[in-house]
Amino acid sequence: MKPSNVRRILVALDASPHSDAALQEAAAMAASLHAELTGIFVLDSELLRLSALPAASETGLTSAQHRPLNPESMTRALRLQADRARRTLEATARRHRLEASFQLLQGNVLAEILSAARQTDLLALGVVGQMNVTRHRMGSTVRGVAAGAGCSILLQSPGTREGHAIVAVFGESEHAQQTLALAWQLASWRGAELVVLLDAAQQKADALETAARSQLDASEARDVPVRFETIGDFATLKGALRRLGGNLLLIPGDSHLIEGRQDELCTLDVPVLLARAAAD
Amino acid sequence: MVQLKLEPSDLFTPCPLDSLAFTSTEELPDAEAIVGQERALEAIGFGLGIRSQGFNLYALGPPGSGRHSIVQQLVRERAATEAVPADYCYIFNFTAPNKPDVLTLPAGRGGELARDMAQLVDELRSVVPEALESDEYRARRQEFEEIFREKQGGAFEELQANAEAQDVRLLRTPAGFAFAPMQQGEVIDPEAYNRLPEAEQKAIEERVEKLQEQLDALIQQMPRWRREMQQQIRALNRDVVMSVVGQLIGELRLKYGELEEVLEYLDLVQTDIVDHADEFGHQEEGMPMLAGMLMGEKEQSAPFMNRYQVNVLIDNGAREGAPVVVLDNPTFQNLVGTVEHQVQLGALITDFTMIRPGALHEANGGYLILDARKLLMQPYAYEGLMRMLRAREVTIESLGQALSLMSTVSLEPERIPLDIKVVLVGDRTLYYLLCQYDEDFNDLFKVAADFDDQMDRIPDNTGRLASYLATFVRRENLRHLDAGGVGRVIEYASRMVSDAEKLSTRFGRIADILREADHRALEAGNGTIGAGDVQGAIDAREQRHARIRERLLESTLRGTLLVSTEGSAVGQINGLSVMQLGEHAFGHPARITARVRMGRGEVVDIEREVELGGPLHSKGVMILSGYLGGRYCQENPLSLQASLVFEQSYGGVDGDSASAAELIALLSALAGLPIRQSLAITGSINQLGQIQPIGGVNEKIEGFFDLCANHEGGLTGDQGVVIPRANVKHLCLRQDVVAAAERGEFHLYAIETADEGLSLFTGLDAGSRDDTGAYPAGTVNQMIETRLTAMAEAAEKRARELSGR
Repeated sequence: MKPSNVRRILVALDASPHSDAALQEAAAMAASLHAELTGIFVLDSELLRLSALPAASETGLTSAQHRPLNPESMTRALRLQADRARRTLEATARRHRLEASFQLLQGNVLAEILSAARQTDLLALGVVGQMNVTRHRMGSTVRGVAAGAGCSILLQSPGTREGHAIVAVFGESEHAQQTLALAWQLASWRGAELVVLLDAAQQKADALETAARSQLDASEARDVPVRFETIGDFATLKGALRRLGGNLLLIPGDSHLIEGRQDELCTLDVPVLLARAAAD
Repeated sequence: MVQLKLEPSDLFTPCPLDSLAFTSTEELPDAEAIVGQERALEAIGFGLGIRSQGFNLYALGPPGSGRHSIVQQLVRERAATEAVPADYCYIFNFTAPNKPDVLTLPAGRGGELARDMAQLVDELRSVVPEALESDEYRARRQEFEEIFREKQGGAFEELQANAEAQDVRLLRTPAGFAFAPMQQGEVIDPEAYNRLPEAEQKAIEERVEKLQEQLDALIQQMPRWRREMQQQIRALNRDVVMSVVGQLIGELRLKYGELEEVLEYLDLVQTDIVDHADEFGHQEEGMPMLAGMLMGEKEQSAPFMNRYQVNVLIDNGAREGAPVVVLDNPTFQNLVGTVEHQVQLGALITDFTMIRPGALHEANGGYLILDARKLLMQPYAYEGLMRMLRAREVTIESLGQALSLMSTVSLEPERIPLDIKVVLVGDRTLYYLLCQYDEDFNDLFKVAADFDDQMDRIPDNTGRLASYLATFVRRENLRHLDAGGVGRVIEYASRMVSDAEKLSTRFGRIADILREADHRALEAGNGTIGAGDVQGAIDAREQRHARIRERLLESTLRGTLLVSTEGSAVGQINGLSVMQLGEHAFGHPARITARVRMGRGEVVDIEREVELGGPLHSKGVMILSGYLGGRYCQENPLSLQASLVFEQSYGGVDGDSASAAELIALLSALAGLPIRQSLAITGSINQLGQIQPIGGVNEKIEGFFDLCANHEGGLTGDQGVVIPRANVKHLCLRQDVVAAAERGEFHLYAIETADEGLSLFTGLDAGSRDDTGAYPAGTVNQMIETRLTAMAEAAEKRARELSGR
């Protein structure tokens, strides 16, 4: 089996706990896949513009106090966040013995991330930003990225569980092979069990298992223990994941299972990797 | 005339071997170990029997009289027949954690409850988190969180939509929210904004301000919604935990159904666990704190769970009978118990599980035996004991708390009712001092068990002493004594109390002699301890203490200390003194001299003038004036000035046992008659001239004997000691003294009057008044009277001359 072609990993940083967690996962993955790691931080141009307006003010989230805004203080606050993000990136890279680069961008956050994502194979980010007060579990930027990016996306959810297995969904989809290849590579590196969830909604489980086995048999290393389970919909996926104690879930980015359920991915309690075959 | 000289048989009362109906103590059965303490035994029996308040015991007596062992033996015998007292446990006080409660349980149930509670905590550790992880619980919890999210998210989304409709967007800033006016889907450019007509700017500002107000209201609502959610979750936790805890505690309720106190406690535990359900859920989450890293996670999570433990202070589960506690180191804290502390990150912490019992707790329901002297030597221990006995409660407190020196908050464990009998063992002085100075003592220690230090030397008692010896050597695994050995021990027991008609009951000292005699028998290869071994042990003991006695003797023999044992001299006599050094006493002769001249009837005690004489000695000397005046100068004034001195005495003398010697020296000086230096005399005198008994008679005689016997040439056959007749019954002299007396080389004289003494010392008749009221010529008394009359006349003549001039 040919290895996954994930060579560049980009992590979108916003100095929030979720983005820190995404960074940890991305760094671990970069180490296992021998990929480049790049962190980006976007200075939000909308905020900078807002702060330059006369009479602009912000309301504290917990204190409900009003504070006048100005471009200097806003720039300083954003740069402080960027600094913190850079330091975290550097410290994490050192821990994983990685080379990591940091880019400070400015502009519309979504647009800049999507633009940067074009140059990468995998984009990692926390599912929510600094503060999420809406009903959505997934922040608006993340939703935009998930919908718009062409690369694989790693979504770091809150309350990540301490499971061990790498869980991959295998079914009738364009990115299924890439998903399995990536999952195998990660499981092999981490010495973890690989659990393949056969998505039997459109094809019979036996046929899928045969296909998956033949793909895995093509790889030289047979040191990864593999287990097969059958699922049919999102609910069975969720149940299986909890039962198995997954450490990471890989789903083909085009799987029917997640159509319109992106928000629910955040309730799975494990990082989710939406795998897409790289453009090249 | 009465025979003054004593027969050798008067000097020592041997123990006739035929009075001992055995050849070795091996033949004697084990007997009651308590001999000669009937009074004390009766008092102890009464004291232990009566359970009323204040009937504690004080066993008083000299050391070595067996007080400790007898008291312990009797108390243990009694305690074995009494009921086992209850278990006492300290438990967490759920309303006032610094005041732990006491749980009183039937013996053995305390330990059982503690084990059950420990198991309950173990089960709770797994069962409660399990319940809080269950799908049912998670689903319901998520439901509440969803409701909160709906409420908060809905409100924000509504606000956002409302803003968007007015071309304003709600943006998140690094520290909160801000409203941004929009233009063509983007935040308006500041320059474009400034170009807007003022009216439009104002309109925008007003719109933003209104939205701002809505946002403020919303943010203020949020904590309330969050609280509501938390309350719901807490209620859910309670329900879930209640269902599992109720079942576990239900089992315990069945087990302890008859114990009302335990049921109440279990109710409190159940309520508390349910109230603190969160604590169980959060046990394993999150990183351990710094403290946790230093101590390991188990200790870190321990403090909360500690509250459900049961601290079994006193577990009487394995006990038979009532407890008997002998406390060797009766410090305040050892008596009342203590609250221990643990150092955690430099701070001292404690809780009810660190309460430790004191001897009062351990002996509660039974007996506590203490040494009075040790108790009094420990700061505040006696005072604390008396306070607790009076209050009939034990309060566990530190000395700092008891003395109000500490104001920090510490544990105040609930008091435990005290039902105890305390036996203090101590010497007599302490007992009488306590009686005199501490009123509480009289109230609280109503029973005195007075151990005697002697008993009558009658066949019954010698038999019991022999049985005691048999029992003792068996217990100590020593050789048995043959009849001679026993006899010698009996004789020594008499000598210990210096009385031929009594026996010492200080078996501690006798036991020491026996141990030493056994050692000597071993070295000599004797199968049994014979009289020789016993005597050897006694002599060796004497010899070990003999350094000062020998130095004094040597000084006298070399002429440094002037004492004559031969010839005769005027106004000079051998008195006898006793020196007491620790347990060891010995006698030594001292030269007493008297000088007389004309004067106003004073007898001067030089010892007193220089403050080397004690009051008793002065009293003896003053009596002499009374005797002289009454005996010789009824018609004339006593016109002499006499001085008396203990020669070469630099350390002070006391006691009136030399007053007889002083009188004879004084009379010799008056009459100008030389007196025998080969005799020594001891005895006190009264105003009527009667000789009264004194103490230490054996040591005094032996002291003079040693001096005479060690002189060059040895005993002359003329030497001896004059003693009061009332002291004859006290004679238990050394064998060498008795032997010398039997050979006629050393003599003992017993006198009843001063005249008898005078005759012995002068070799002349003392003389008594004839029908005319005069002393016959040539008698000592006549010479004295003549001299005194002459002095009186001379004094009168001199007085006349002085007044005539």
